[in-house]
Amino acid sequence: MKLGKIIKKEYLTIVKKKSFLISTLITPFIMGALIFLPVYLAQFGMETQKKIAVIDLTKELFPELVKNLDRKLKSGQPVYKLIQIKAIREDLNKIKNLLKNKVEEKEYYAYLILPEDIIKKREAEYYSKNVSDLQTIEEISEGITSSIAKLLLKKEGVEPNKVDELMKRVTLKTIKIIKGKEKKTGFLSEYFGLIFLVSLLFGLMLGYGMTIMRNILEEKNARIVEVLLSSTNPFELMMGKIIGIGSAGLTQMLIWIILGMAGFLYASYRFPKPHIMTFNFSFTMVIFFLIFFILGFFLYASIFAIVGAITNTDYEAQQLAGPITWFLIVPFIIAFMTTRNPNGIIPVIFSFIPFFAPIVMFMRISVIQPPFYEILISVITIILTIIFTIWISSKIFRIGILMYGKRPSIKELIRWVKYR
Amino acid sequence: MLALQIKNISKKFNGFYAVKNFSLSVPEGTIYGILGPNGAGKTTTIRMIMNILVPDEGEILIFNKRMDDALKNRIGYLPEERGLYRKMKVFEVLSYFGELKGMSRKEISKKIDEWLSRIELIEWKNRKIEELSKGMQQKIQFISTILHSPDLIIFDEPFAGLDPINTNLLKDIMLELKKQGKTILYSTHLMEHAEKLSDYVALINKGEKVLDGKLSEIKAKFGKNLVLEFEGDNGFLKEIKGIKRIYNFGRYVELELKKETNPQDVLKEVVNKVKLIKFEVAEPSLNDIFIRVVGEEKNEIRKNH
Repeated sequence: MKLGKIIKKEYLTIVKKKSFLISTLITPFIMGALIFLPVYLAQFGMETQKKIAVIDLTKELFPELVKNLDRKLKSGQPVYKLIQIKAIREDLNKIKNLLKNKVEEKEYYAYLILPEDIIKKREAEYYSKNVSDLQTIEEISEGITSSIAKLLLKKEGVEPNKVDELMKRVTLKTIKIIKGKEKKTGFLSEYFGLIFLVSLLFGLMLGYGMTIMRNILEEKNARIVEVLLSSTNPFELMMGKIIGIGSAGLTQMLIWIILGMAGFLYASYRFPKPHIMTFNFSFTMVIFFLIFFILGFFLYASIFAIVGAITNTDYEAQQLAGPITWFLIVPFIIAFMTTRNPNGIIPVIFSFIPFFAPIVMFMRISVIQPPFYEILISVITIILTIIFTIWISSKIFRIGILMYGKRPSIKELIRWVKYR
Repeated sequence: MLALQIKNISKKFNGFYAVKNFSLSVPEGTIYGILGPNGAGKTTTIRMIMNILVPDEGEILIFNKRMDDALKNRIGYLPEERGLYRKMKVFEVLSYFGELKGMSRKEISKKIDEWLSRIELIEWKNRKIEELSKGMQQKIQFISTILHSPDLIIFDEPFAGLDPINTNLLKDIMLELKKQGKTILYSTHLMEHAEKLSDYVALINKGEKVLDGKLSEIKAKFGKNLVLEFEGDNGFLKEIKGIKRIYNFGRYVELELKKETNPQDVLKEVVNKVKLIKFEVAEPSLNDIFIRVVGEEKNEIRKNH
C-alpha cells in the first residue's frame, strides 16, 4: 500500500499550502464578480433615486402616495423621493414655472400635479424631461390609482388596517422554463457561459498538469528520487503523484462547485427574472465536468510527467511544456463554431481526437446533448490513450528521473521506451 | 549465510565499462567496505544492487532472492547524492520515508525520537529541513536510512562532507548495528575510514575488483612492512639484500621485505649506514595495499607491452 502513502503525501503537500487555500477561496469570488457584475450593472446599476415634486391639490392624497410608491433601490433608499410642494389653485402657474426650471436644472426628475377632481376624473399631470421612461410612468400611475382606492375605502369607513390588507399587491413569482427549451438566454450569453466553464476545465487541467511536472523536477533536483526508489518502484511513484495531485485538483473543483451552486441559488433568489441567469448549473453538467476533468487530467498529467522527468531546470521544462499547452488551446479556437453548431463536422471530429476531446466534447455536451454513443466513443478513445500515455511515460519516467545533464533526444526516448 | 551475493555483473555506459565482471559475497552480520578512488565504479555497483540500474550481465541476490518490492522494506539505502524535502519538517520527512518502508505510525514516532536523540538533533524535530546545516541534514538522512531497522544497509560514501566528530558518531552507530546482527555494505574513497570499521573489504579500480576478502587476512597476506626514518642519504638502501620493494615517502621509507627476510638483519645493516630515528615493523595500511596492487598491475601492463 505504498501507492496510498505516496498519494496521501502528495495530496497533503498541496492542500496544506497557503496558496491552495487562497486560490480555492479567491477564484470563485473573482469568477462570481466577473459573471454577476455586468448582469448586476445592467439590471440595477443605472437606476438612481428620482426626486419628484408633488403638488397635491386634493390635500389628502400625498401621504397615501408616499406609502404606495415604496419600491427600494439596491442601496435600500426608496426609488422615488417625493417632495410635497404646498400650493393653491391660484398660485399654480407661478409654481409650475418654478418647478419647470428646477426640472431643467435637474434638481427634480419630474413634477406631478394631482388636481382636486382627480378622484372623479382620474387624471393627473406628469411633467418631466423624459416621458418615455415607461417604467416610472407606469409605477407612478399605478401608485396614484391605488392611493385613491385606499383613500375611498377609508372614507367608506373601512378600517385603515383592513384597507392595507385588501389592497395588498400581488407579486409575480417568476419561474424559468428550462427543460422545454423555452430558455430565453441568447446565443452570446450561452457562449460566454460555456467559455467560462471550459476555461475552468482548461485551467485546472493545465495548472495541475504543470504542478506534476514541477513536482517531479523538484524531487529530481533535490536528489530525493533515489531514496524513494529504494522503497518503491518508479511506476508506483509516478502514479502516486498523478493521483495525489489530481485529487487535490478535484478537491479544489468540488469546493468550487459547492460555492458555485450556492452562488447560483443566491443569484436566482436575488435576481429572479429569467433573462438574468446566463447559464445553468445542472447536475448532469457537473457530472460531465468531473468526468472530463479526470480524463483530461490523466491524459495531460502523464505527458507532463514525461516533461518533468526528462528536463533539469524550470526554464527547460517550461519551454517543453509550451507545445503541450497549444494542444489545450486548440479547442478554444473552435469554441465559437462549436457553440454555434455543436453537431457540425469539425466539432464532432475534434471531440473524438483524444487530446482535444475532453474540452471539445464537454463543450458540445453543454450546448446540446449529443447522441450517447458519440459521448461513449469520445470517453473510450480518451481512456485508451491514457493507458497508452501512462505506459509510455512510466517507461521514460523510470530512466529520466535518474538522468542529469543533457536532455535526451527523441531517438533516445524511443530507446528508453523499448528498453526492458 | 550471505546477505548479498553479486555474480559477475557488468555495466557499460556509451560503450565503455563502468563495472566489469564484478563479484562479491557479503556474509550476514558483517561490515563490508567497497573501496576505490573516485570513478572506480562504486556508485554504479551500488545502484545495480538497489535495482536502480540494471546490469548488462550477471546477477545480484539479496538474501538469496532477486530484488523486489517486498525486499525493499528490509533494505536501507543512503545514496551518494543526498537530498531531502527542503520545505518539510524533520519529523515529516522521516515519517514519510518510514511509511514508505511499511512502518506503523506508532513505531515511526518512537524510532524518530530515539534516533534524533542519538544524533543529538531532537530539538530540531519540528524545524524545516532547509533550516538545518548541511552536516545536520546528512545526519538526518543517515538515520532515515536505518529508521526501519533494515537487515541490509547500504551506505554510499556515508562520511562524505562530515567532520571527524560526526564521522566517528556514524561509525559507532554502524558498529552498534553490526552487533545487532545487521549487515552493512558501504563505499568510500578514503581508505583510512575502512581500517577499523570493516570486517571485509573489496578494492576496486576502473570498474574491476582488484582484491577482496577479510581485512585481517588481506593484511596478513601482504606481510609486515618496515618503516624507517633516518638522517642522511637513502642511496644505501639498494645495497641491502632481501628487500622486495621500496616506497619512498621523502622523510621516511617503507620497505616491503621478501618472505624469508628477517627484519633484524635489515636493522643491523641500516644501523651501520645511517643515523636511525625510527624503526618500526608495521602492518601495511589499506592505502599502501591499494597502491601496491594497482601499481603492480601497471607494471605488469608495462612489461607486456
